[in-house]
Amino acid sequence: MIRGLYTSISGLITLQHEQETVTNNIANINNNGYKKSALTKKSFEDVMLSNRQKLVGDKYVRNNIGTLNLGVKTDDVKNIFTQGVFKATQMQTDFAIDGRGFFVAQNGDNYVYTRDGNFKINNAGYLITSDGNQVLGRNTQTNAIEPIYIGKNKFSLDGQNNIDIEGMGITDQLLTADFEDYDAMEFIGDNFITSQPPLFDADVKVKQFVLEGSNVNATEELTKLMEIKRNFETNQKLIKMQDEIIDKAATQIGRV
Amino acid sequence: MINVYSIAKSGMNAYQEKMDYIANDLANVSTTGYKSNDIGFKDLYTETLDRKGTPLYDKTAVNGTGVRTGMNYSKNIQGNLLNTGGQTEFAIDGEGYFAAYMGDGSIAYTRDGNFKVDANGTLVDSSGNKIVIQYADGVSEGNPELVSSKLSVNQNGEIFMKDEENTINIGRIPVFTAIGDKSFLPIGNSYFVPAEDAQIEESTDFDIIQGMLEGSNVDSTEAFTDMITSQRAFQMNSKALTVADDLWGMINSMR
Repeated sequence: MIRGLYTSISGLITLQHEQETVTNNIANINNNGYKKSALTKKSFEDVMLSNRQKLVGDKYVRNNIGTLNLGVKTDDVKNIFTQGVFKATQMQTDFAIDGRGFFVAQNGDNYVYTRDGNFKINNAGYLITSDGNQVLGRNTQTNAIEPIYIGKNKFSLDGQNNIDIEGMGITDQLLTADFEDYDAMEFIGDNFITSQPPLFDADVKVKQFVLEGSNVNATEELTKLMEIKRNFETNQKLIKMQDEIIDKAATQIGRV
Repeated sequence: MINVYSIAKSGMNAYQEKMDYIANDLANVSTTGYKSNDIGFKDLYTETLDRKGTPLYDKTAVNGTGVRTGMNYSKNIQGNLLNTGGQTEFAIDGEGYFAAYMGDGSIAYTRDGNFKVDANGTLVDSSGNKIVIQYADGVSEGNPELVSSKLSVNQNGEIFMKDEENTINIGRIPVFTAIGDKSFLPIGNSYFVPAEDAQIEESTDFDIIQGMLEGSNVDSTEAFTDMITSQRAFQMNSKALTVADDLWGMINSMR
């Protein structure tokens, strides 16, 4: 009986976490380049129930009744890397990635990666993310990784992701990175992720004058929200029922 | 559980703020020389699910904790040029800003070329602040007094005034610019002030057009679409907040 209570509670806790995941997706529904996450659940390992009521000779021996599952737990929260919708803009510093890959930006001494291509130009003339981290490129002459200088000039992006600046020609290639294992990525906030090791030579398709929206599906998330609520209700009902049964056992059967 | 309130709250705050920017853009849909806002979102830090008493398989699992609005930028896109025919009305087609002397002697910049000639014969903007003019030799402020019907300004901003038979070169209206999307910060009244690290220089990539004004660059279709998506996003976040509240309500009513 008590066991059943804990089984229902494991459901409640897991559903709370799923509610957090879904709410976070909804909060980021208009966030450029955001990738939705999904919480996966798995059941506890089965346990074998046994008693010692079987008499063999003059001894009680262990008697297996069968397996029992004691509830549910959170398996993992996985990010789902499907393509977001493209939005056309009029800004030359707006970029979007079609397919796999990430932009690379400098955050202190580290490289961080993002799908949010809403870039700007800072007052020193370099391409930055909207929070001010320098966007990195590869110098087409020296192959060195460096911030991209644009200045006041107009520029365009060619098929090899080279940045062709009016009056200066091609100086840098927009640096992009891909990863072998998308599951190992760490989300560090501000639309950035980190992971190791980056593959800088991967073929990444970048588009200019376009932004990538989030891949959150409103219908899906709201349906999940309703499902969570009802699921939670069911679990909560079961706890109440079990409480009533314990109550009966304690107060009514116990009465002499 | 308490956190789920704050995730939905962060979403509602962010979309509310976005709505404020959109509303401001729509309010300025016909303000001369207005530059619309460009504001994005950033996700917040993640938190681990590995807490005491939590049934969890993968201990590295994390949940995001919401969203915030990013930094605000002005969209530096040319507005439509509107034909007004006014002799003292100018539009900049290209890069740069006019400069005007504020009351405290500082200089502010504006794209609003709706100028007038004041009682002293000097060129002022619509707020009455004097426009920065590089006067030609032998000409100074108020000498000669400008007469708006006799003024003509060419594409480089050079001002000429017909004086009976002769045409006098009064000087030039300089146009300033700087590198960077945040080099000019709006301060209201269509004025901008340069950011601390902005390198102000004279623009070369512009035409001054007399008899025209630059309209606002707000794209009302885009603004309305943004408004709808932001409003819906706000609505969904409030729905998520309600569900979180329902869950908590159920927990409270368990006993």
